[in-house]
Amino acid sequence: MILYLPIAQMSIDILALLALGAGTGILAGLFGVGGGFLLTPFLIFMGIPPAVAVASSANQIIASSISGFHSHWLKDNVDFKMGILLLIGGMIGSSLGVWLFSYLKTLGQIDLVISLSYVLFLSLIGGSMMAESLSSIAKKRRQRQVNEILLAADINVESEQAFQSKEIKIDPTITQHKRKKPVMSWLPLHVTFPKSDLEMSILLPLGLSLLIGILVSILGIGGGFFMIPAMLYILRMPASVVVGTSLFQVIFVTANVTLLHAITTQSVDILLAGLMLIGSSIGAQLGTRIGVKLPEEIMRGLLALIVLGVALRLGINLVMTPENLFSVSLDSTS
Amino acid sequence: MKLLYAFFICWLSCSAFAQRPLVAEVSSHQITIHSKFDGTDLILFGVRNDPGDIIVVVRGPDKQATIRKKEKIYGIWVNRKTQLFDAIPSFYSVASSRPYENIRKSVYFDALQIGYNHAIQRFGINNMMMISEDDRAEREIFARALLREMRGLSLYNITTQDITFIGGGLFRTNIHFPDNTPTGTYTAEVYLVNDGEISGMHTTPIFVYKSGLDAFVYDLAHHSPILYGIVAILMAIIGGLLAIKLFSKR
Repeated sequence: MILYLPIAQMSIDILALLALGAGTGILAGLFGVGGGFLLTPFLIFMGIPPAVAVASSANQIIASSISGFHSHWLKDNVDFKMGILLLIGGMIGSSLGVWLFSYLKTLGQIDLVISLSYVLFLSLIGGSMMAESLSSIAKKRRQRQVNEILLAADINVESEQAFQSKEIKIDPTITQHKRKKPVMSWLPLHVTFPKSDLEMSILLPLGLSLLIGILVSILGIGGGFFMIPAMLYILRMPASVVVGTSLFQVIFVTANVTLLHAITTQSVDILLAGLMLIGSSIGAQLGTRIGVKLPEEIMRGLLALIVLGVALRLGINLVMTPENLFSVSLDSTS
Repeated sequence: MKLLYAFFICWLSCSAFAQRPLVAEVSSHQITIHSKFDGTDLILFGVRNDPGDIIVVVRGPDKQATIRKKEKIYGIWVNRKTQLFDAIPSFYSVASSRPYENIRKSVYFDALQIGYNHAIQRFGINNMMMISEDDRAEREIFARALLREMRGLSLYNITTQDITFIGGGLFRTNIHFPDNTPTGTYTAEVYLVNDGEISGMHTTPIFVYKSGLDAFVYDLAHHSPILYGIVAILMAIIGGLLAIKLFSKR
């Protein structure tokens, strides 16, 4: 089934597009990630102009983050005070990003910048995920060996494990005490965040979300991939509110990106976004229902492999001698 | 289609037109691009009353073309050199009754942009005098690359010897429009060339526009982008809410 995309100005196979949406949706459901970071590169592989791919992905992410946010909101897992600060920073950052995007587009360098940033950040994320998964696989194996030795030596494994878990239980209380201390206390404008039990300068979340906002508008992603680690490790927010708060701000930032792209680059394709939305929401449901019985660290390793594969494919495109050295862009004469 | 044929033959053989050296008409003056548009063909009919070769040129509305050349920098291929062509036809198709090479060219072919290699004007009026020999050579390289690119996009094509004579000076040819045909007003120009002289010419317009939902979406996106952006956001919000409704009930 062929469909003509009005903004991308090309015909595309609906089934291929739905399959792509479903594929990334399944990944999202399985691994609990946004999937936008894989969707955009695959759209580019399908021949959709990078600018259209980025802007339309942002449009689609609004929808997927609304449904994600809803379930976290019901569980009261959202820190709205922090969310609004992140939202303000994200708005400024993404506006800067769209401006940068259209500037790079006039220079003819936007495709390169999109590809380069994807290679950079996919290999970073893929690499760290792979390292984490490998180390936790190794740790589990060591644990099993220790248990076997203990069993062989006829020592009570249960009490040993209880002792270990007690040790772990002590940890959060220590870190909670640390949390009370403001992060980067030398910054001015301190504010308390009761929901996250934090006190810090508002400049920190503002600055972070500004930087991430720039990436969001250039890469066509929700930004959860950057935002969640930053919230956990830099802002030191409790893990329970991180995803909900991130999704809350992603809704508004991607809406901003969509609007600005619609105005400046006219590259938001509603049809493309709609088809991807249908595909990915079906895929996400499938993904959560498949119920793979693989252990988490192996799942994480597999996702890391996929991410690294995409990075490699994009990287090869940049380095390999292109079939055609010339590229043309046509604009209506004014 | 047969009816159309009959109509044309009847119409073209009318005595009023018989006196002109060249008369032509296309099977349709409109091409509508809809959501399942996968390219289309038009038939051009004509009558020549004088001897000579027929050349048919179909060109689309002018566009500004930016052509960039990649160069390797630190191992990565990067767009470096850029040339701007102010106005090139966004679509160009030429057909001739004999191979183009064998036709004795008129001095006006370049100015009238008749022939694949003449499709793109190398120099505008304002930059014709100023540039150096090297710049001219570079311009020529980029113009040739642009021709190749446009051909690669199937927006430019040459179909030699694709004009068939049916008899009695009546001829026909097919014009193919690919799935990425740009919208706008096209001209189908038919030239009668006799021994390096253009002895007849007939021009007829073809209108290409988008129809239905696509046209609506495209127009909205380009003419009222703010409204379009808001619609896009609203649709995404509805989509998100719908997903919540559909999947949380189970």
